[in-house]
Amino acid sequence: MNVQKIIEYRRIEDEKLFYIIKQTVRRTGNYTIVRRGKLLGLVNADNKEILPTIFDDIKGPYQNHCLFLCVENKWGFYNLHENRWLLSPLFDELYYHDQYNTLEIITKQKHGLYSIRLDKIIIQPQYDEVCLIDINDYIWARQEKKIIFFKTETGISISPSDVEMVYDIPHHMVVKHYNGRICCINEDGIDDRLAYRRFIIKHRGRYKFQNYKYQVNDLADIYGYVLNEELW
Amino acid sequence: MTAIRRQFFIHVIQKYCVGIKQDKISREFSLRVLHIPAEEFEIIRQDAFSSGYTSYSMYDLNDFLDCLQRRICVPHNIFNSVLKDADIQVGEIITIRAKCEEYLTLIKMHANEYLIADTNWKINWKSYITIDSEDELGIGKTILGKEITNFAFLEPSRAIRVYDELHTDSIYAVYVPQEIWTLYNKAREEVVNGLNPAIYDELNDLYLHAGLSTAVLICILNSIIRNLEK
Repeated sequence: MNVQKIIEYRRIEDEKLFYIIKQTVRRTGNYTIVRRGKLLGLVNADNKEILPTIFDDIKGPYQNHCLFLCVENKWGFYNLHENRWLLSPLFDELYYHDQYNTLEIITKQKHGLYSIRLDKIIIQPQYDEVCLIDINDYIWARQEKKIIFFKTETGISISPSDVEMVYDIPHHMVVKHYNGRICCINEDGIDDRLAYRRFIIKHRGRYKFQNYKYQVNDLADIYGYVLNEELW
Repeated sequence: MTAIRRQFFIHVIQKYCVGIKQDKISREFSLRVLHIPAEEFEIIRQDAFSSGYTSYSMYDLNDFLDCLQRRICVPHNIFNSVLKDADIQVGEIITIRAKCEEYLTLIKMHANEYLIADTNWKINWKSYITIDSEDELGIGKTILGKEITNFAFLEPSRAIRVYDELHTDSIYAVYVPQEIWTLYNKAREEVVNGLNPAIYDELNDLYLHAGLSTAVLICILNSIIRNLEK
């Protein structure tokens, strides 16, 4: 049975059990998580039902109005203000990165990324690792040792070769190759030394390239050398 | 392994490199490496092994010392690109080749202003040239009336980078300066006076603290010598 049918079935069953009083589990912000039988729901401060008691687990709220809801071991993300699912409960795990306001979605051990800002899945859960931020023109995912960039606006994928590290930069695709050199990548997936050079000159000869996922900070010069690393 | 290798080469620099010196005959400046007697190679080998660099070979040492003294820069190509003045950073060295083995090596000193570091072009001798913001540099373009057949940047070699790193901890902490004529004039003054050979290491500190590699200083010093000889 798919999750939507389970939710519908549970909703009908929950309505039948109206005579059983819901027990308070815990208060969370302006809401209270309540239990009826084994299932959880949500009421507001006036004890008015916000969500029926049909969920196996509830986590949150995040940003005061979003909840993780679990149905049959599948997690979804629900917006209480808009009263709608942002992500249907189809995922094995969800991680909210509050610093970046994104959701990492995991299904069958494959990772993807949901942008709350754009209200859409910007990287499908098909990769071993994904970046954490959605505000850059290009985002990235890693499949085994292969790095794939996606143009955030269009979803077009770009696959550079020979990439050891990838960086989170607002308007460029920037990688470190296995030879230790940092370079920009163009939309054909090829090194663009001129774009890199212009980027570095704009930043007065040095730039600290960051990867938020791996917490890497590499200071580089105009030739792509990482300056805070062993040189030989 | 890289840390061990680096540690070993730092040890070599400290022991065998005596800083920037001027050759009495050619008058050229370079990082001078001491002559290493044959029997000392075995001592170096033992040093390498004791520091954990067990894959050390004589080739590594020779290559490193050669880079330190003679190959201070290596080419860095920007393939199939046409550059303008704004695409070149102050303090960068560029080498341009024209037909008939003619070459011109320039150092960018300020926006649009380039010191002639070395050339065999028959041009009315002057120490610097200007390149307008809209002028294009690249293969097939022209400079000083000659067609460019090859164009590359010269970046400091790894040996020089190790040397730079060893002699200052701030070269990478500072932004690249907007102009280096002031530093050039300081170097020129010292070369013209030519009284104190130790001054070049002090100059090196000055350049390193301004964010410029030892390779740039050596190129500038040699340019000054060539200018004075004209």
